[in-house]
Amino acid sequence: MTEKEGRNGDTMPLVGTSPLRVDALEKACGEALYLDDLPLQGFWYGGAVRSSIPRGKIRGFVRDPSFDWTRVAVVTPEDIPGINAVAMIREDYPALPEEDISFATQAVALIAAPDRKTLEEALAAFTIDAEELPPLLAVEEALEGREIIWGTDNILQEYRVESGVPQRAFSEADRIVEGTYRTGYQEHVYLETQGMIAIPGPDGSVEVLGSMQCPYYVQNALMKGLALPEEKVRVRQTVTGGAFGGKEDYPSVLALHAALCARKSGRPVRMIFDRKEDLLCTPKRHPSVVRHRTALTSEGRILGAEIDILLDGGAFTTMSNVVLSRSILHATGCYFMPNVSVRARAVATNTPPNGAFRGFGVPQSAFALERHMDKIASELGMSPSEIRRKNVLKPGEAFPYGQIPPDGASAGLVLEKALEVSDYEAKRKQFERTNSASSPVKRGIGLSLCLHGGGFTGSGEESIAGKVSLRIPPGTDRVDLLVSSVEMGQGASTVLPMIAAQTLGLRLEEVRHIPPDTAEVPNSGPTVASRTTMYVGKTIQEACLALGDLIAAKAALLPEYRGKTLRLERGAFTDGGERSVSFFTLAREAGGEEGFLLTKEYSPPEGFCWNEEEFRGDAYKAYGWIANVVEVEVNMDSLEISPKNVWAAAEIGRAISPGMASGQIEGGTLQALGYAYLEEYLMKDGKPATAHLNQYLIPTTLDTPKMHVHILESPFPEGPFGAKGLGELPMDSTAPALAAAVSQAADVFPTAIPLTGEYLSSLLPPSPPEAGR
Amino acid sequence: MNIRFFLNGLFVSREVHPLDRLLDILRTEEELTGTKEGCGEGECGACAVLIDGELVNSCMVPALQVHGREVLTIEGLGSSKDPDLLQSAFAEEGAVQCGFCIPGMIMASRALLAEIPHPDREQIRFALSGNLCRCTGYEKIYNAVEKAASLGYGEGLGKKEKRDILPPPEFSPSEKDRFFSPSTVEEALALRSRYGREITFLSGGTDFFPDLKNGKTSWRRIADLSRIDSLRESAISGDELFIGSLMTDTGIWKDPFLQRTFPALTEAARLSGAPAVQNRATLGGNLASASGAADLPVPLLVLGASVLAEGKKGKRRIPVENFSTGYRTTTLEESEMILAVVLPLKNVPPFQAFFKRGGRAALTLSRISVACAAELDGEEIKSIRLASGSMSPFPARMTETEAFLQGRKISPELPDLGGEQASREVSPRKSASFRKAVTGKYVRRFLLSLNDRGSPLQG
Repeated sequence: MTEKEGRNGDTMPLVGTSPLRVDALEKACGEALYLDDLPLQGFWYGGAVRSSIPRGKIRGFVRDPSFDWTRVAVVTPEDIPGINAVAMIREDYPALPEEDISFATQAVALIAAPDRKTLEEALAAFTIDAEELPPLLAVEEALEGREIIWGTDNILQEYRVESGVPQRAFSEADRIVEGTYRTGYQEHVYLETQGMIAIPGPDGSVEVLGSMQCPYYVQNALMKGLALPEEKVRVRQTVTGGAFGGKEDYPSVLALHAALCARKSGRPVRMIFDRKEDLLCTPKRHPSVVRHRTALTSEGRILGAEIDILLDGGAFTTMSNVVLSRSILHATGCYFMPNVSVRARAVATNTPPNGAFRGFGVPQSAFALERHMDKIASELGMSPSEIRRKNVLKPGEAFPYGQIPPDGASAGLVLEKALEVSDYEAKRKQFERTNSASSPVKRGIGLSLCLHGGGFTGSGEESIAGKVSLRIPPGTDRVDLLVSSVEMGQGASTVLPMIAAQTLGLRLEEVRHIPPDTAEVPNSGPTVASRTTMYVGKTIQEACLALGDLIAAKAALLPEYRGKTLRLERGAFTDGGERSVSFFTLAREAGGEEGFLLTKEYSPPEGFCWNEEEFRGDAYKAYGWIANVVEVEVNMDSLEISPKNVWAAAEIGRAISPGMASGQIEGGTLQALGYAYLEEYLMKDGKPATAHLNQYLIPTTLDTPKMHVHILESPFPEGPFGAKGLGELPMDSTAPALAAAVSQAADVFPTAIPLTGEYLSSLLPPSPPEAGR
Repeated sequence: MNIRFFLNGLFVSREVHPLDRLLDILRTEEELTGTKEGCGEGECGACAVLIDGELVNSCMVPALQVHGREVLTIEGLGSSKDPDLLQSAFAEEGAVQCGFCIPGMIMASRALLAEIPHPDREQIRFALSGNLCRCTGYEKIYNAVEKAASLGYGEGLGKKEKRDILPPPEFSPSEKDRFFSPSTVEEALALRSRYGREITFLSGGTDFFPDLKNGKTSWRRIADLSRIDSLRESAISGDELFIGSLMTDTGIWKDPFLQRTFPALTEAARLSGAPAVQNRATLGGNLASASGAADLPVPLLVLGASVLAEGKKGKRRIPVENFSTGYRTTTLEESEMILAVVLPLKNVPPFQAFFKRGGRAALTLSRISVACAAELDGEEIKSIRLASGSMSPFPARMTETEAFLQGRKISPELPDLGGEQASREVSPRKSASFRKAVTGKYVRRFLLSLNDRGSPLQG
């Protein structure tokens, strides 16, 4: 590949290497301070009075008179100074409901108490008097519209994407294949639970610290809910023990609750969930029902498709409309379908609001599509690889929303790579033969293909116009990166400095990512949507170039350099002649008492166009592409699924740090495997009923297959050093590959996940003992 | 009470409540916040530390059991300025992402390398199976452990023996009639006689602490049995094996004699929980907490085991079949405690098996479990015992299936017939058809192994 981005890109061997993560040692030595590790002596404990019913009308509250209520502070809706909503994309989610209870575990009042024990006593002494109403618990039921719980029709959002003439495709088709596919909830299980602390200021201001992805989302929710100006709301991110999207929307809820407690009590308040409260109350991945109807030629070429997507949004919007937009835009995946009609709806139900989770609507679309491709293959008597090869995007072919992806050829590239490195075809044939033996252990292999658009959908990056600042404090040999992008485990605090260091020609240790604090860093946008490296990194790179120019320009005002044109090369400024001054020497001389502070806003590249009204155009500026092959064993006695090997071939533009990139792929792949067969979040009578980690099961070491990661690079000219979005991609495509592998091993065709023992059992022909009854 | 212990090599003396969790003492009193709380009920391993060299979840260790012990936490290994080799290996191999699980993961790795300095992948996977990581996919964690091993990290670490370096702890005047730390069976029996059901006997705490957290248990008085060393031993007397009630899951499954003689039992112990839980959970506790999903009673039922209890009226033996009357209730009398489990060594069933179907491969409650034991006389089943777990308030024998199979000749049809019979016999409340089917398949699998005369444990 060729690179022109960094002035010294070809000389500093940093990008493309895997240096030690800057936070690794302090974490490995137990020194990193997560929220609950901070000295919080004297903080009051905040807690929520939660609804035990999924839907109802609040008649009032009953306070047990035997409890001394002067010991605690109780927050009810009248204590909310601003709007009674947790401001996110919409403002439909009340901080505390005035009247309508919309889901079980909804917070309806808050209590702050000086210690944990008093809080527990107060919560037990405070009861909600509510009239129960019939809840809507399933999307199909909500669509019938007999009860209306949101808007006029319970539909949080609807989108359509159309291309060509689908009707004609179906009338001309040799074959039509239909299928319905379902996915369940998924809980993030970040190892560090959600938590916020709020410190009230004497002037009515509030400072909030916590585990989060999006400091400015939290600040916005606090400003609106507390009716405070920007300068009176300070939000700081603490070391975050995993997030995976789970700390995108919910921290706004928790921060507002903690701040309300702090204002009412006049004390600093901590609200740090234990695992049970976290599991019961926080958002999950949207369950989905996706229907496919596909028109095909007898050779297996797709002529057209009708796709219907339903996501269960839960009681309020949170992120559902943007999750849905991603679902619909990824509905046809990596395949060329000339005549398409897709309808996607996010539907409200009386369940806890679902929210962001790595993949963000794509895993649902991908599961349905990839299973459907397998179904088509099976009905047409083709192999799963053949049907995919036949229909995979080729250069120049467009998505249904009109975009011709410049990197579309990567779809075929990753497909072929995964097939090759996994020895897919040979294994598939081999397992077919060996599975006929009498052993209860059967083997299977499955394939899937997927893509993920990096960054915000459509013109989202232009709207948010993320800013980054670079600072050289006076008298230091250090560049501070001031961005609101957080380190949550994914590696931003190493990767972003790598980009800056290479661009400036400095050593990694000379660039520092500053823990985000809204009082200090500009709004670079939220840490979501696989956008941090690709977009924030790009803006950092441009800011670095501007910083070099600024230093040179300021230096040119000094007598010593007057009239000289200084250029930054390999960490030093030269005037084209013999003379060379190191970066920091010149920065000190030119910066004087002030040092440097430079802010740069994202500058959109030319040539991309998105029409939001028509939902057409360049939905994403670049895509990551991935193909997965999963090999499993299924014990037909116990119906236990054991993934043995998983291969991932991913085209991600450029791996800034190959070690960290493969770490993202391995971790995301395992989350996807858990999603596929282990992780089941159950509701009982409309109430979340999975309260412990011995009920919600994520993969342990013994559930984890051997992973084989292959990174392919097709640099994206507009990304920093060619990088594209990566974080979510590995979560998107592994689940259908596992289902496909189980299909072969157990000779069944699962159309839903999680593939639990119960579900697998239901797909098998009745076993003799059952048949005999 | 005052407890004194060694923490990362330094002598510490602290005033605590006897049931304070070690986790809280470390994080709050000692301000060592490297040890994390991920769940507070032994389901994630983030709080793992070493006590006398043994991996434990500090969220389930009460203060009174820390007295006199050596505790090692992540801070005891090294600092970011001067990391130890294992910590460096985690950093260098990219094994650290969000980092929250890492202190526990490193402690589990250290425990492994101290025991097995050069483990293979499978040993690493097993050793870390109680430590959840949501970021990495574990691959780079394995690499880190392998790197530290290759640099000789585990050599010479040795496995520390548990030793009582201090006399028993002393309780404060207000605690004296509520907390006890007996050193002998006689002292414990005296407490039992005096307080009956009012006193909770605490050993590993792996049920007690989660139950306490979830409001499923309460206590009035506590006796910590962990200082009664005699209950940790096993002995052969006559034709019988006595396994002390404080024998841990780890102690059971790593015992070569038990592995040879009672593979069904050792397999159940090995598949129970994960290492940090196995190091704490005891045989007596597994019986006394009387849960349907308990692993060890299932093989004990088919091995002819009985519970040796002692109380006011002296010692008596309770067949495991008669030990529990329902969820969390036993037939122990008020004054009685469990001394040991007795296993007959005469006519040990030559064919044994234990099958467990959990929700996942490790650190999981059994959803279905089956133990089988049989003796053959030529082609005929001379005797057979079958038991199932998780289907009833306490594991139970499948007597109808046993009667059906007893005396039958091994035949090609028998496995299917026996499996069908077993499937009909159990009556799980939830997910009935799946769990009945798997139970039947397990029994069928065992009968097939009799056909082949192989060990089903290896099949």
